[in-house]
Amino acid sequence: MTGAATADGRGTDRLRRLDLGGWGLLLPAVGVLALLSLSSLGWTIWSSLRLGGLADPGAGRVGLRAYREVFTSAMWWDAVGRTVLLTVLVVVIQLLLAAVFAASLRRIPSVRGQALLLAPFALLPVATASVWETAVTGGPGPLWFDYDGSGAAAGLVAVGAAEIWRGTGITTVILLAGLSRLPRSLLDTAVLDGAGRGRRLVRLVLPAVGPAAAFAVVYRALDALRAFEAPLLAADTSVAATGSITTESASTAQTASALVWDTSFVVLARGLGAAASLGLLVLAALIGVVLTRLLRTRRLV
Amino acid sequence: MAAGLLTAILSACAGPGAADPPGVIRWGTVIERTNAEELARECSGERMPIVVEALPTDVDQRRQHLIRRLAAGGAGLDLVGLDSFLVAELADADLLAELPDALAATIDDAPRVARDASVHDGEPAAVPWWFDPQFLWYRGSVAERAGLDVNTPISWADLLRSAERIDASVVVDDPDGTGLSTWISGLVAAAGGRIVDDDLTVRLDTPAGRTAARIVRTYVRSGLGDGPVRDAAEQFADSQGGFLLAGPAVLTDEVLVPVADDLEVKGYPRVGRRPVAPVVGAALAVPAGADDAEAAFAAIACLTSAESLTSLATRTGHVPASTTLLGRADFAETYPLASAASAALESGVTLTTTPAWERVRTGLRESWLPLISVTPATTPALSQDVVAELLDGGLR
Repeated sequence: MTGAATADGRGTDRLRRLDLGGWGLLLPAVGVLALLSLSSLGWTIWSSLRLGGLADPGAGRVGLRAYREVFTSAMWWDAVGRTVLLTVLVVVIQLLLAAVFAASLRRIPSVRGQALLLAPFALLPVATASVWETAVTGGPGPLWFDYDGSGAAAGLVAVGAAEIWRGTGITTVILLAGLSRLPRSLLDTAVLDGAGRGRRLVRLVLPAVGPAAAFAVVYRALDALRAFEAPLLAADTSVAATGSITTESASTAQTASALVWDTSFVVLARGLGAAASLGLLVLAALIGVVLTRLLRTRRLV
Repeated sequence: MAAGLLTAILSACAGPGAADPPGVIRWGTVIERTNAEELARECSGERMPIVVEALPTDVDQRRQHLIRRLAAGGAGLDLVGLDSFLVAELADADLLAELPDALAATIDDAPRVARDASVHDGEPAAVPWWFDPQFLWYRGSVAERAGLDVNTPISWADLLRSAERIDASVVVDDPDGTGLSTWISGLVAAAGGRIVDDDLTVRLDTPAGRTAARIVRTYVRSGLGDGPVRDAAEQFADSQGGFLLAGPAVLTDEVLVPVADDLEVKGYPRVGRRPVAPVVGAALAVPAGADDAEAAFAAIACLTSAESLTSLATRTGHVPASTTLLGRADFAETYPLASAASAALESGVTLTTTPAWERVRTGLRESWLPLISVTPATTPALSQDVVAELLDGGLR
């Protein structure tokens, strides 16, 4: 829009004659984006084909070996399983919480009060992650509820809690936007027409919020899938600091993104890390496709 | 406009290395438990000044840090203090400058275990600096109460039995995250085995591996301590403390001061007849991309001279990697551990010195943790598989 405003000057007449329309304005940005993402994707694919890298035994060999190692590894599938489970739980809990918040917020007319809900989202993700990590695995949690905070399960609960905390605000805003499509007068009319609570929910509220909810689910599922700070903190159970009698090796709490990080930047096994990150990319694409398909059919009902 | 911004961003990414003043030797080393600053000052003299840059304490971070910087072409380091196990990996990746003949010849003076760890493909790759065998440190009063006979060599069985008798703790020093792998490879070697052969064949599922697992299990079952821990010295100094397995540089830890009068030392506990102590060492090398390799080699010659090594040994406890110095009577006067240390170095073992040491270490952590689930029947076999798979290029 600002482009259109500046295009009023004379010197831009020639530009206008090219008649690229909106594309003309978008092209440079799209070009830079494509260059950045395609070149790094290409580099990742190239790296994954060579078991190269400083720390790799068998450096320099070319082929699909890295993929075979990753996709036959129990550690990878464990990590993927943990990640998917965590994502599902996080998204479901978050959606329920956000629905409750959105419904109650509709009764608060003050925008300032509504904006408060965004506060958790405004926290740096790493701050959220470390607060929950401390609360669940080290500090008050184990003390108050008397459980072992050093295990993998506690680490994963901390990751889930941090993710829920981080995403509930934005999910609420999305749902609230969906709800705002539903004028109060319509609901009042429905009441006058004798529609009960259930009927109003199914026939009015859900169809109105549906698209927004579907968007929230897809967005938050992909966002939770690539959650990075919390899993990284949870996986860092330094043996030297805690003693090694009951400390499990760090890999027992790893999510897929933490595993990719660990392989690429801690072990410095570039080929394996590249193959695993492409695996994660495919997983994200799959989840995106499946969710959009699923949610589209629901919306038609 | 965009181009200008891009150049600005790119030049901001050039990093701090470019701004370092010329004419100094930048020495990257672990500064904990060493008097690196002091040694650097003493070796600066009329030559170029040596500036110490602390490397990360944690071994994983240290390895990443060094590999990233060295792989980027030396990136601001002219001299590095390397863990004994890192030498092979960095040398194998051609990241270390070739030693000049005069310096390479000094390696013959190093104890066997230090020599083995500093040679790669038959060529000296780094100059051994200090190599610390672990000892059994104990509180004299505690050993007496426990009825431990300290006049004969102590075995693991004796040690654990006496400690259990009076409920005194036994802790293993782990200053940087290598404690577990050093401990296990020491135990396996003491039982007559070896965790990995030179040709990278894994030898954990062997009688020696099972003996090591048995000792670990006995230790864990008797609840005598936390195994390898970072605050081992602290635990040793508190009221339950009794026994500590650590190299002599642990003496630099101030928490030991209150128990100093009661502190005694013996050779590392035995498994079989032969005494075998785990050894952790450090060597000095010059990165392949160093600005002034000649000056850096001169600095190495100075840092491994008898004067500098004496300063290191007497002020921090580290065992100098020089048989000549360890055998000198005047040195033994100022450094009472000299003869015990050189005997321990004769038969000691370091963590495997192959380029793939990190994989071995990771495999040991994956399969031996948590220590509470270690059994002689399952752990060595599992460990064999995990380490072998990692060495074969598998995912961590």
